[in-house]
Amino acid sequence: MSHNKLPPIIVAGGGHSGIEAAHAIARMGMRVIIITMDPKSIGRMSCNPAIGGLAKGHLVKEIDALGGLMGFFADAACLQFKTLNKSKGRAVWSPRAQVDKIKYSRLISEHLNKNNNISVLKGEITGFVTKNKIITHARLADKSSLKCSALIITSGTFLNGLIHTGDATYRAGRLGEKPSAGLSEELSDHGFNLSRLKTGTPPRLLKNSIDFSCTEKSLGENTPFPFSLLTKRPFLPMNDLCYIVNTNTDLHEIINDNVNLSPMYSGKINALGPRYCPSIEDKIVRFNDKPSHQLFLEPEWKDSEQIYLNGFSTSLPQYIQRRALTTIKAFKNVKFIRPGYAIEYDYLPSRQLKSTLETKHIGGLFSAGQINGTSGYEEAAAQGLIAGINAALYSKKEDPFILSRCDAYIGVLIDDLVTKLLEEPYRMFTSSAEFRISLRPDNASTRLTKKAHNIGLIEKQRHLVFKKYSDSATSCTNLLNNSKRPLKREILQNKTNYHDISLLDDFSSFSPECIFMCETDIKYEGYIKRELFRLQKINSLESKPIPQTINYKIVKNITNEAKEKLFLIKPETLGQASRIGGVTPADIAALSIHLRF
Amino acid sequence: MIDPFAGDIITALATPPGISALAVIRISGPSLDNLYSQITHSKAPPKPRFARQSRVFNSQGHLIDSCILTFFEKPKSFTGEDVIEISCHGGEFTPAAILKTLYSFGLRKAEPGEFSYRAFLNGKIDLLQAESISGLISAKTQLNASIQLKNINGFLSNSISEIKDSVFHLLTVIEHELDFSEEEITHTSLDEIKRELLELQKNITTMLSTSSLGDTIRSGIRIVLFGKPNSGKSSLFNRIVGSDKAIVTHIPGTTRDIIEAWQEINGIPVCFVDTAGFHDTDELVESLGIQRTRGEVTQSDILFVLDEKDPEQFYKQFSSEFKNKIIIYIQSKSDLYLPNIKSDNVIYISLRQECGIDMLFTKLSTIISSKVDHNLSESAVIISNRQAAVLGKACDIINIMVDCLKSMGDLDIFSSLLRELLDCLEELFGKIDNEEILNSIFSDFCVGK
Repeated sequence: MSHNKLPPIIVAGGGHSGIEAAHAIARMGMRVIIITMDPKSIGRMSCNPAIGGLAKGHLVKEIDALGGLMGFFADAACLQFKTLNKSKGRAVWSPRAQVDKIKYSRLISEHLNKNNNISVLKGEITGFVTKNKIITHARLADKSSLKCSALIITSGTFLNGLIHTGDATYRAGRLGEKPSAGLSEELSDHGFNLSRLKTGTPPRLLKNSIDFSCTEKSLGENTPFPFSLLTKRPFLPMNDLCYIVNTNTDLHEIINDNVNLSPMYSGKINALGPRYCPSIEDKIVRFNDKPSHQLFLEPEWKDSEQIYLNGFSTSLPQYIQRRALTTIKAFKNVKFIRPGYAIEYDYLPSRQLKSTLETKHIGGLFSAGQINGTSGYEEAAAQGLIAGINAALYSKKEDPFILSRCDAYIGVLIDDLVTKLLEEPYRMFTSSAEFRISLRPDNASTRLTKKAHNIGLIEKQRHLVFKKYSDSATSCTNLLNNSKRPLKREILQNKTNYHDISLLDDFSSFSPECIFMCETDIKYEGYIKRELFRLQKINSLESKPIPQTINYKIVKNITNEAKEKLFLIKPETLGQASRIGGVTPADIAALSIHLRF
Repeated sequence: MIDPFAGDIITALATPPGISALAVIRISGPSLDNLYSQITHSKAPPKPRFARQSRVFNSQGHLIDSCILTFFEKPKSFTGEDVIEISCHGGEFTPAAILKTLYSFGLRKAEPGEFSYRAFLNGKIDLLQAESISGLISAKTQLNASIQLKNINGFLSNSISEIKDSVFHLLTVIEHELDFSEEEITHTSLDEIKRELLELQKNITTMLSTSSLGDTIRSGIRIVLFGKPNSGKSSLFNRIVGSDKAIVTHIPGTTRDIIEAWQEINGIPVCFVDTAGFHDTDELVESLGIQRTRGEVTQSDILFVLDEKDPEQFYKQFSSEFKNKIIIYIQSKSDLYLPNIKSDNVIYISLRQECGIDMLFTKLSTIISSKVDHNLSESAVIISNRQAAVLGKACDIINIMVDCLKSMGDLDIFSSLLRELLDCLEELFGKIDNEEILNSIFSDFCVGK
């Protein structure tokens, strides 16, 4: 392809964000170099051994529908699979997989290695060269520089990473890995604003030191719907055991008594932490009326001797962690493989980015993933995909690819990032999606795969599978609407469901997933119409651009607060402006009048 | 048509034109310091919220009048902008001369309601309050005025705010259910959610039910006098309104046109309507009169059915034609004909002997009181058709939600409907995206308000 003559795009980092970016760029016919401090860490799951979950499962389905990697390999490396929220409405059903971390990372590495457009280079990016505010080269720690069409920074928690356990503090990217220095300073020198965030991880325990007879067993589903359209049906994943234990008042007392030893509580960490993935000290102090919290014991890989203690993220000193845990019967003789810790790191407040994840400041410089202030593998992967796509389009001088809030959760995620001022690491929630009942996990591919195909993201094999699936959905919907038995009415009155329908002779050729989606469309149709009607106005504002050269000082009749916020965030459209806190509908109207002249 | 984003300085006469001792001119704009010194030739800046006597000059520097000027500094003013109020001498000349001077300084004549519109845009009042300002100006009775005043001070806004808060609370609970797993939070039971929803349904329905009361208080009650020719309708009408407004003769068919008169009963404006007597006739003018009578009866709230002999018997032929009417049967001229057995449903009146009229008024007063049977000091009253329509929409949504929760408990759909409900309540406060709707609301105002 002629694009191969362009200089490559460079991706700084091989985490979940970096690999999706690189993969998308390669699919779009360009060369890409992943530069990582440790090539063995490609696709490493550095925290919990799970992919998906509430709202995050939606993101994984969408990444898959756009031709990304995460869904397919999570299915392939799955140890246990569950659909969460099953009693609460299909728009919030959330697939979640326990994943074999080692296998996941290995499969992804192998897959990338097979791709001729992708090369992986050991090294560290410490800076970049610009000409007329446009990226030309990436600079490495060994002082060499590489010519590039675009640079995507996906450095995760590595920028000036600082690990805390109790009193101990040391510089690191992840436990046992070097942090990355220099790039933060380079960004600051170019006028970017950087800030600090923190996140935590729980202890890893030695499996044979745990008394499992004192735990509750937790199994997954036998025949769930997988993440990926490409995963072979029927999907019969492994169903390895997880276990549940409960905290008790003795444990709470120990933590309460020692909370001053936790760096976050003693004020040692000034960075903002996640409210929604709180540390155990947070949970106990903040919800002190709750006598007990659940902790989940999750295997990190197949036959793993290492157990991840989900729900016990902490930065207390190791001896307190141990003392607290031994109050739980199953942990009477527990041994640590490594303690929980907190890490604080530099992030790039994402108001400095466009919806393409290109920086507003420097052409061809993109950033994606945790560096933008998000938490979670899924949020990182989604951003990597969008940054990769747009870096390729930018290099080829083609129109950007932007998903709106009514297209996808990914659209909501990125729009939130570029319009909201973060107060804690950003986590995806289903309630952030105004079009929630339209943006379901079950219809991700019918929503998005066509769009992805138009820009070359969908390979032949996937396109064939998708064509087959969408043709089959069309006939299934037809049949549901026009069958002799009044199936449509029965669906609306909850008198039948996809399971019963799949047993009917007429429907034997359709997969249960396909029937499920078509049935849900029928069931939700009326409500979706209401939702669309209510949200029409959002769309009308989305299409009105605001030039980046606008001088807010001379806009008449908007409040000073609005002026300040607009100046800081510099929204790209009136729609984005309307979602900035402190900007009122009257301000938007005044702004739209100003733009008319 | 008001341009909501004009942002220029507007002015208008805030008192009615014509001969009067005083007149008040109001000015509002982003900054009025300069204008103040231009018209008063005063070098010192105006002191906010002080009434000051000052001479006002025209653009050539000639004295127009000696006035009282009050300066309100933004944002502590009615409109949220700088405001000046000039009290000058009334009459044809002085106010007009001052306005002319103001126009010559580039000020624009305000559109009707434009001051209130600016107050609304600047967040000084919400739309519910704005509607009550308009309502207070046009109020004809004490009761109406006091309800409007309470709403201007935020009584209705607070009640609806409370409803909005509970919708918001419910939405928060639901979103927690949807977005957090067991390991993170304690969940709320479906029964608890149902209980909150039913409470909400009750509150919104109660609020909506005050719309007919609000309607009655504003528009009043129409009472139509209905009967055969020469059954004494016009005599009774004159007696009620206390003047000879209707011509009374012994000739049947004297009244041909509709005659109205307003009275206030228990704080409610009541319109009495005298009509042409009802019978078959070939005479053109009289038959046209009868046609109008039919129309009046259809629009009435209460009917006085009059007859010399048996009003109940007389009305039987119409009972299927006119539906849902409160009827008071009156046997007129009871000094001429009194039946042996009196009916409990009929009031017997003799104007000549001055009897039965007290009874009629007592009965009427009871009926009207029952129509406004609300604890007005405790419950807020909605006062416009717009408010009733939006609340009606809210009621529809909440009814769908109750069904939705009964049938399946899909909380994702439930949340979508709750958000729709929240938008609906926001709309009551004036979060309306359509400029035309807002304009039509404010165009009902008078100039200078």
